Amino acid sequence: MEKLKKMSKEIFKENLILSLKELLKCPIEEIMDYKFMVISIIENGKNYNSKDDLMRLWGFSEKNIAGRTFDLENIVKLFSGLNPLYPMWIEVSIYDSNNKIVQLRHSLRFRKPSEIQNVDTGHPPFRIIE
Amino acid sequence: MAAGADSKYIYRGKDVSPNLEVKVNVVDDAGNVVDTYSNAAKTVEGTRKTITNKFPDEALPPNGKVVDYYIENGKIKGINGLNEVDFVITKDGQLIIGNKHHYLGQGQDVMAPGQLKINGQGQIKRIDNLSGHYRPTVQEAMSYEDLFKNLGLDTDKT
Repeated sequence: MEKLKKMSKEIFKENLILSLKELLKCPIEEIMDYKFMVISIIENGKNYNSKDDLMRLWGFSEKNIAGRTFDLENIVKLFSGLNPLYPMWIEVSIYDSNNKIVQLRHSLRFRKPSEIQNVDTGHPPFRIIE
Repeated sequence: MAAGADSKYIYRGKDVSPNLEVKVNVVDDAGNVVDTYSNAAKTVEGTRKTITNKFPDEALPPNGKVVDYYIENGKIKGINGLNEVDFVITKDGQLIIGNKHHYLGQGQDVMAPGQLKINGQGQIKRIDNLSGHYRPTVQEAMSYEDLFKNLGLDTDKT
């Protein structure tokens, strides 16, 4: 399996935009109008470390994300709290096309670039769910 | 293995070294002493505020783990090449290292939580304040170096 060599806030943002282009099939200007809602997934049987705890308890706490939507800049900031550690995987899907809301379901395991999944999509850690 | 004059032995998170005294006054936000911890002989003394566990009611994590170690000439020894560990310094001045702060502190308030980077010789290279359960402020973390020095650890290259 191919391993990712590098990840940064800029690469994460670029890959998120690439995944949105693939999902929404619309021009970049329109993509910028979309908002994001976040669903954090706790994977049974997986090991979580203290850095994961930090993100789970604060950045991705229910208080911080439940019922909220984020614009592109803020969603990138939210996920970049432990840069260069990012979620192992993020599933991208349309939640509400009328109101232009995209859903991001993500792993709460924040890992170094070589452990990030979905490299084969061309825009890791994102994977499109249609 | 015999404990030298500059050695401490930690077993299951408890200091089992001979002739070690830990004496710590715990104060509240107003500076009033609310508790004092002490045992006997060589003194580790200070006045510290505790850092509260912000999520004391969470279940202790199943993958929490305490790592045994000993301190020799200011270095952490006996950890089988581990180079990054979580730590807490408990209210009675014990350094406990391992995995997951909530487990290491057993859900209790502590003096210092964070992570250590340790080189192959046991020298502490980095101390940080990264902990989700305790989330120490930068100001709280300013006292960490003194706490480690009081425990007999060399932080000159940290």
